[in-house]
Amino acid sequence: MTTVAVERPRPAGLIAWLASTDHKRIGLLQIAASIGFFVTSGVAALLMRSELAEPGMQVVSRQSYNELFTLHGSGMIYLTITPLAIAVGIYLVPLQVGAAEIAWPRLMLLGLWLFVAGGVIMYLGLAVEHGAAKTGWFATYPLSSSAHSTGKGEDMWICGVFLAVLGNTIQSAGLLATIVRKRAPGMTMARLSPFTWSMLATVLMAITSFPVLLGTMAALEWDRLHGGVFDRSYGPVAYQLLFWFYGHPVVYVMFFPFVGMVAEAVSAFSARRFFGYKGFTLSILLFAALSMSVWAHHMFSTGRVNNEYFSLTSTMLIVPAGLEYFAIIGTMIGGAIVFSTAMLFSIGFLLLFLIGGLTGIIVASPPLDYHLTDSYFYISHFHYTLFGGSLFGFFAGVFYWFPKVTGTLLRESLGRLQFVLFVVGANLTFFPMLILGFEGMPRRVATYPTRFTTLNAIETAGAFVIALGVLVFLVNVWWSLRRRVPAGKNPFGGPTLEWWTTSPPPRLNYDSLPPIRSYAPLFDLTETTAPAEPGPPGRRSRRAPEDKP
Amino acid sequence: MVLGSDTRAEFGSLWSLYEWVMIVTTAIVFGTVLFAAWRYRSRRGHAPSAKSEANVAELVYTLILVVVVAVLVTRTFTTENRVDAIASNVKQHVEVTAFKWGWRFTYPGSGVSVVGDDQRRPTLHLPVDEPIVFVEHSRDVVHSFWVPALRFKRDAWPDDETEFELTVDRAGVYAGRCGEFCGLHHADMNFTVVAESRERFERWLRAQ
Amino acid sequence: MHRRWMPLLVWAAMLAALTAIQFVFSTNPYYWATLGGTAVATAAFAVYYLWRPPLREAEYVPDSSYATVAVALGAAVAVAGVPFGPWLYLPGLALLVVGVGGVVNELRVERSRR
Repeated sequence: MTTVAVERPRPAGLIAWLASTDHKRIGLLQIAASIGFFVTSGVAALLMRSELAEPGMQVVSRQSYNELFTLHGSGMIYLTITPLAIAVGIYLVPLQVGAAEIAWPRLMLLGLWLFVAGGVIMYLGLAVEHGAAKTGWFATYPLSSSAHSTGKGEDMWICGVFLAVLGNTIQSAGLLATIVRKRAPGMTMARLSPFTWSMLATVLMAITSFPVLLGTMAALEWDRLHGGVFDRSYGPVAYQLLFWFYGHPVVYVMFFPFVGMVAEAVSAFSARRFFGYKGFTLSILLFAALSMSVWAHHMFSTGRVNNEYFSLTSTMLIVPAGLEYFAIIGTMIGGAIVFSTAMLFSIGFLLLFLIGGLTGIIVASPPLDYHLTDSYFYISHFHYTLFGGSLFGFFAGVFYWFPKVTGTLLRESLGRLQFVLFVVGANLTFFPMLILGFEGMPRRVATYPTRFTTLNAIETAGAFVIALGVLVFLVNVWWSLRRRVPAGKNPFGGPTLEWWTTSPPPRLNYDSLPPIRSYAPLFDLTETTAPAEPGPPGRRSRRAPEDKP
Repeated sequence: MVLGSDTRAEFGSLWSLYEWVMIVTTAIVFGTVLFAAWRYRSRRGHAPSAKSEANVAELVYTLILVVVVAVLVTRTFTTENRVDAIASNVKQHVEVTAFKWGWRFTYPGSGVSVVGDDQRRPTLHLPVDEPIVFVEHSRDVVHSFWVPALRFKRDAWPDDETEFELTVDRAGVYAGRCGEFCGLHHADMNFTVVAESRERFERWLRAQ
Repeated sequence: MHRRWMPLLVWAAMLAALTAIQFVFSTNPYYWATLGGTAVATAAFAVYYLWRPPLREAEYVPDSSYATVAVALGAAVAVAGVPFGPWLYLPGLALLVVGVGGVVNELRVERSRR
């Protein structure tokens, strides 16, 4: 371990927290901010679903509806799941590689505040004349030009997106530096945990695709202020080609860290080292590379791109995705599975993300996509992947790592309730959308023909069930922090390095490190052939004594 | 008659293949996950397995996935070639102009033009059982000509024309929509397609 | 060759292969320039780090950096000021400059403490 000295005495108080260079505090602040934006974007969704409960306009105006779906999509993508994906890496990666500190801590802090400021600026668009941006989360041109979108709200959206993505890009570079340069002795690249591997793939995609978005947004703003960029022949197509070069990898940035979280939760709660590690790591790099090459599959119906190449690379995604499922399910097979909340969310992830992934393969076929693109089929696809995939994976990670972060356990009873509400709510909300899209309901509409009413009403009910689940989670966090149940260092028998240190970890993460001989160093220490004893869910009783609370 | 532009039939046939693959995959994955969760639940006296890889099985599995990709891509490419093809010597042409928030349909050579907007929905009359070449373009932002019953949409651009060919295989009245978000009244930018026999179509055309 | 750069070089090779396949279908520069560009950038990054001198062993870790927050907020106000005008972006730039000055000062103090 490198010798590190830290500033003493440690500044206390809220202001010190907000300017802290401790990666654990930065990570937690960013998670909290992301959850805050998640709630605001979720409220926008509830307003949309209230409007869509019946045909005709009852709750909001057409203009407001267009603002709502723009803020919902933009809020979820730029301000919630992407920053969340980076933030869980900011917290966990230094711990998992055995580092005392993250690389470039000031830049990580910079990224946090650029993101938060960007989000605030985007929402402030609501307060200006003509209202907030109304062109959707990808701001198709020429709809987003100054001629067709008047008012500063659109410009503020562009600035907000620019700042948030800039912040995340800087943080991704810092995470890459941490993974490559700050590993503890013995922690070779081939011994990185599955989660850290998933973060490596994530930041590679982020660093290479996010700058294209920054350039495109700058160009769009220039076009709005001075013209002459996209308002020419092929300009609108060029805008889309450049945007989607970012717009596809970002959805994998929003996914990979949570696959990594599921991989580790499944490993811990099956009491097995992760299965098929070599296949998993190679396939995650292939998954990331392919994801950089598929972007114009968002443009099949334009008639302006080479559909064949992008359809080929998009369909090839089946291979690495299938290999990841092989590894995770292979970890379950032969394990001793404990059905903690984290394990329940992991199983939910496997099943719900599958629906999202398979519907993705369907729309990767242009003749099918000609009908299904820009319809509710699409909305179902990306909500199954983002909600059923990313968010279920996130909650698997939360229920697994909460004790390490806070020193206390989350309530399993409330966790199960949240899981049930999420599963029921997600399927009620997103499954009927497959049917509606197939039957011809376009996306981004505030009203629809009366024959679509029943399914829309069911979807609205489902959205409120999801909201209830979110509420249950927030209550769980508050209650668990108030009535603490001490967790100890390794309540679940986790195999990776972070379970060696105290809960929560000290400022410099580790006072000592165990020998690192594989990707499951703590399993190496305590590997026994004694039969597993089933303990109460969430508690392991077969680990070595020093790991007990 | 060119079968290739019968988009409804092409979609239906390709969809059947994909649907079958999806159902089988879902059944296998759901079955495996739920079986594994039950069979390998933590029980007294059962230690977890120490095996951490199964390289032969993984390789075979990968090859199966590659075969699935090859089958799907091949069928997709051949279908797409037919759907995107535009036959020569097609008798009927229609010019489509999209604008915020309505449609104009012009039948070149006959001098007939139908226009409508979100207040008054326009009707597009088409002859059945013959290929029709459409040339579309937009007056302002990107719109998209979508007829769900024909399983087809194609974007209309302001900076260039887009050409495609469709065949309506049975008479009827179908809904038409704008398939690309275009602003305030995108949800109301609808049209009606009336597909009828050649004779009735020409009678309608003469009456305009 | 250090093994830690292997994942980056493997990734750059995958991107290069996917770019090469593009030419079977199309020569549109929006395709190969973006994807090929990322392959080149990834490889260049890995190669640069092979030749870079190693990081210092002993480090001093600051516990907070108010100056960094000032840089972020200054940059944000400056960017937000672009559509509004100098009355907004000039104060933003001023805050940014103050923040950068603060960070430079922090680094100076850190170096003297080592």
